[in-house]
Amino acid sequence: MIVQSRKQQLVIFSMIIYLLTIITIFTSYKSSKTFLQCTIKLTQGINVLILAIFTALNLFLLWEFLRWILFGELRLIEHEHIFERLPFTIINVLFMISIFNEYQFFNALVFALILSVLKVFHWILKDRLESLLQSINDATDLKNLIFSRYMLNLAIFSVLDFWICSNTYRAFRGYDNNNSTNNNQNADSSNLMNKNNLTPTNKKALFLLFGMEFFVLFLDLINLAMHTVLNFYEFYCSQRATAHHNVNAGTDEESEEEADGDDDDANFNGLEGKFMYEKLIDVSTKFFKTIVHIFVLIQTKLQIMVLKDVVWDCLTLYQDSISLWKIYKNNKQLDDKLPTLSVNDVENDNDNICIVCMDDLVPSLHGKEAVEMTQADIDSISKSKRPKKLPCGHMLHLSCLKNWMERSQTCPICRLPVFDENGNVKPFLHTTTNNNMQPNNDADVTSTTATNSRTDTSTPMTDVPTPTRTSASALTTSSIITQDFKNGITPIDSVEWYAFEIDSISDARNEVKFNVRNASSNNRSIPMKLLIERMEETAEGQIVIPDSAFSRE
Amino acid sequence: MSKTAQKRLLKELQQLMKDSPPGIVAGPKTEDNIFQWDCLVQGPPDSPYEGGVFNAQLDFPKDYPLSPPKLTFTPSILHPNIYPNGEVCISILHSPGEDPNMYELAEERWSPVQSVEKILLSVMSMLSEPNIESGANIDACILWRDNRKEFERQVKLNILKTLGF
Repeated sequence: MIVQSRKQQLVIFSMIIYLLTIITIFTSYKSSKTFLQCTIKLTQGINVLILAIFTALNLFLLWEFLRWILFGELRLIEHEHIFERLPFTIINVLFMISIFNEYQFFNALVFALILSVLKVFHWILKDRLESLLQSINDATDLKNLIFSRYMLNLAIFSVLDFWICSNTYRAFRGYDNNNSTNNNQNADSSNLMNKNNLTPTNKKALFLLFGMEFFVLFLDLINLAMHTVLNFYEFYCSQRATAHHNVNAGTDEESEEEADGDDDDANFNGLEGKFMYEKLIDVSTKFFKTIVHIFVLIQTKLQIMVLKDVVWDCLTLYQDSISLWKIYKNNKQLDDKLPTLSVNDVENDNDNICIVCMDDLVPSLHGKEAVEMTQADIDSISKSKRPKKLPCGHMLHLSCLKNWMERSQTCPICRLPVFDENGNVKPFLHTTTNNNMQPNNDADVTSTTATNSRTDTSTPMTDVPTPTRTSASALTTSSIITQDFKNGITPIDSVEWYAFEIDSISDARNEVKFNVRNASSNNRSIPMKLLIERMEETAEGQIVIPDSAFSRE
Repeated sequence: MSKTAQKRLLKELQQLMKDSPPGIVAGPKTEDNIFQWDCLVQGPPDSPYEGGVFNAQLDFPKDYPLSPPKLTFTPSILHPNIYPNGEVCISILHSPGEDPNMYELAEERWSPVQSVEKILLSVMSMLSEPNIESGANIDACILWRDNRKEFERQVKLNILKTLGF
């Protein structure tokens, strides 16, 4: 509705303006004898206003027409992006124009207009890549992608950008050569020359500054093109993987085992380290941009406007490269430094989920369920699907983890950092004594992240028969609570380990209620005061609660 | 394209269909594009939004669940944390790298542990407890803070309008 009425308004408005312009020109033509007189009349009073509006309207219509030819209807998000960025760009461009004197003003204005329009088109183009990739479904082919409107636009703009860049550069060099023959004419001594409206230095600065902007735009386009190539390559890989899988599935049953082995091919989940490549592309683009800016900085003799750009560039470039390098280094050693999970880590079905892909952490192989697997089975899982354990005790597939680590160097579940400053894996959480056992620890109780803690990984399995994780995160993030402590002190070997789920902690009675899963009795509760009193610390530094503690006295 | 995202979204859809929390309905808009969901969120009780049913759209990126989806209310509703264009501004929908407002803790931002269900639940709690410290709609913030009655009246009016009264 609104769009419709807006369109109607625009049509009516432009018709009125056209009519007014024609009338103005006609009347001034009628009432004047010579052409000169006519032009003078046209540049007086209200006529100027009408002609200015006429020009603006035509420019707008031209822009709309170009946009319609190149992109068709814009999506909502593209509109939003344009209106978000346009004010900033316009202010920036106005700043740039302001450094030129009145003789160059018109030239600068034309350049600025072209620049702004091109910028807007580049933003749209960038958004189009996203929409193109989102439109991909099972039916799409690589050919559909390559012969799309987006690619045509990309080609058009690269040619256009290249043409503008080379032209401005040539013009700039042309002035440069003129200058070199005449040493007087450089930017500093141009004050004298300013009286002459065709100061080459000033024009040179014009070409230089706008040439820089165009070149940066061109770099952005190259960046976009590289992203496109990367995405297309990924698509190509996924296509090949599915085709490969289909062929495999098509052959006889015998090869099922083999197909199983190729499972990660079929479940192609993105190019390995694609995010890294993307970052690399961005960083290198930034690098070239910085070079361009520095080049301009030297040419313009440290102009403050360019200096700001360069300083900003260098700062972000440094930060980005550092983080990229860190991610690269850490990801490389991810497989080696993190332990593959052991058989005992998978106890019940709830744990057997990789939180990133929501798939089984340990897929049922050879008809065996995850719980019944041996270590050899787990180790035989192909590399990308190999379940890994983080220092905080959470478990994820290696590939899922890798993809996440490219974005954030922390555990996706509890956000504990995986690597320390020097790129070493953080020490695994050991059982520690717990001091903050407050009865009204409500915030902790409701926390959804069930921190899994377990015994020291170096403990030989024979020592602890069934080390289950405690879900008792509410009480303590990393303590192991044991039950079944018969007859006072029993040797640690025969201790059974149970998982406790905190059922409730009541503030009023200072009581903690446990959900004892493995024991025959269901829920046991123990007053908080008594719990703290009856906890015992073993020689190993573990907190245990003897069975007798649960009896009510 | 990305099989992981598709698989995970299918899994979430299955889970939502099996047992969805009260007050939330969500599912893909069309069958051939699983990256765009339509959601219905019920206004939480004991809030100005009680009694309303709000339509929202979830746009998933192709690298979901590594990047957060975008949630937009269509049509937009008057709320301190919802932009006038309907986009929802809550910390769990911001990706871990960027920090547009410079004060959010990393723990509050997106991580793959979040899911459609959790997002919508957070949105429901956001509806009942606006956070005016990080306002997206400044007018709504001011109204909410200074003139709660008028705010509630406008919200109720909007609800009635969307329900067709």
